[in-house]
Amino acid sequence: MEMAIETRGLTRAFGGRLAVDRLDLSVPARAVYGFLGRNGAGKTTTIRLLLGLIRADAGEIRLFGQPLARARARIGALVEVPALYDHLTGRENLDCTRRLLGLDRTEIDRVLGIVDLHAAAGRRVGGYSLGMRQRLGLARALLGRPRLLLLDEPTNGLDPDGIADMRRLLARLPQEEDVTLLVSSHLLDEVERVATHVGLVDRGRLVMEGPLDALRATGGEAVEVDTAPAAAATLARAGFRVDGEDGRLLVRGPGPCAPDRIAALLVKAGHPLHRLARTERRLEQLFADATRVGEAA
Amino acid sequence: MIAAVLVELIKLRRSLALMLVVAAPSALCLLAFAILLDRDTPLPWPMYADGTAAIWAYFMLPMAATALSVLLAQIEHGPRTWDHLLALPGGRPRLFGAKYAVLLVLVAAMAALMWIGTLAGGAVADGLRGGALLTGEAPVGALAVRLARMGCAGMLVCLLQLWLALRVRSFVPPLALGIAGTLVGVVAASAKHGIYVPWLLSVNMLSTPERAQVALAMGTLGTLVLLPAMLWDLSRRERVG
Repeated sequence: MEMAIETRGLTRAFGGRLAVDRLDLSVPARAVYGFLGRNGAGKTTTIRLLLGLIRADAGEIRLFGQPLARARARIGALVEVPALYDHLTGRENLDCTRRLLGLDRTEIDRVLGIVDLHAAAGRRVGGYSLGMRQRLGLARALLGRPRLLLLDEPTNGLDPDGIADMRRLLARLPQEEDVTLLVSSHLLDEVERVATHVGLVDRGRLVMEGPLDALRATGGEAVEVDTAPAAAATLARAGFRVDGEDGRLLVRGPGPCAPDRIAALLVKAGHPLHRLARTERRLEQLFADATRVGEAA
Repeated sequence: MIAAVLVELIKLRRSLALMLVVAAPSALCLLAFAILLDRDTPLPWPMYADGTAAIWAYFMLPMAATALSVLLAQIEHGPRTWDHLLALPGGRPRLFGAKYAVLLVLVAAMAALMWIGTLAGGAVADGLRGGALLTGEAPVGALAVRLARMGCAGMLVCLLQLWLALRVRSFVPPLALGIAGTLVGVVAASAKHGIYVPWLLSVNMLSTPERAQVALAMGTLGTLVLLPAMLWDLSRRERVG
């Protein structure tokens, strides 16, 4: 399998504090890779390392099998806030980058079409909404048909409609543009809807990585139960692992986790049962489990 | 490099920097025009032209270099576009070199406006007084050469100001340096070693030919030496966030 990003032992410290700690990332080509972690976990530092904006203290980076310096032309990026020239129009902003990349003028219309910003391209960016700025930033990152897009918190500050627009856009890109996406975010639900692969980073270290479906399948099946809060203790005594609160529980067993067995147990104990359903493990759960293991270690 | 310069020129559209290029020499020429009109006695053309050029070299050129370099740098610092620019393929020195080239273009444009404004202001004022205000021939060529030499000598100050303006995100340090340098220049103008103050190099174009030659050499050679140092320093710096 071709790897878009491979890092080995990637390490970077700031003032003695390790921001990225021996990170071994493997991002397959054409994946939508959710790069997840809390604020301050090391996501942005990693993206800055991948873009060559900062230097690693140790380790190596290979993009599509090549060293970073040789593969830089294949990367497009949107780092944190969409940094644009407010006094220029959308089209002029794109033109600046187009010229620096030595691209044909038609490239501007192509990327404006992808993000659906043709109508506003002649307006000054200072008057754009945050959603439009993010789309323009994404259009700029797509100039030159990069094979890899690094998007750092692309939904930051967007309203629900803006988030949904961005999500739809990101979901389309791998097929339409033949591009690998690395999307860093602390919004697990959002990433879960578009990602094919995820990497979970905590305190600079990669605590979990792989195809999302495979990660969800780890740890056995789970059952979501809406019941009384006290039911958690009953299920725990029966050997189940129970997470959640206020009566909305996520139940997993050491062995088979059959809904009928759980239902029988709760009814027998006299707990109300409002809803019971098999469920896939959510990213939030995966993240909580992975970081709990990390903290315990 | 040409593409990077063109990009810098695009960024000047609707910018304060472009307004300053027109406003600063225009204000100075209008002032000189008003002072000239206020005179009761005739004045030789070269003296009028040299007086205007002196104010340009003492105050306007260093202050304009300060303000322009700050404005050019803030085009990137303000919206935090460095991350985007420095992550692009292609050498980083071209980005900083293009900034410097555009700063020089802007200073040259200001000098050209000074030349036009000085000659036009003098001619209009003289015309309004029936040709009795300025004596002799207008120093068309001599003023052009003088302003050009001032510009060349001022390249070093432009470089120093831009270096600091690009290096720090805040506009306060480069502004403080420019104001301090200009003030030191005024105080040190008559000092023996004043010739070595970078902010005074342009003023020395009005001095003795020997002193002017030394100042011109310092301005141009100093630029040639320090330009690679600036490009190296700015290009190797990390963008931490």
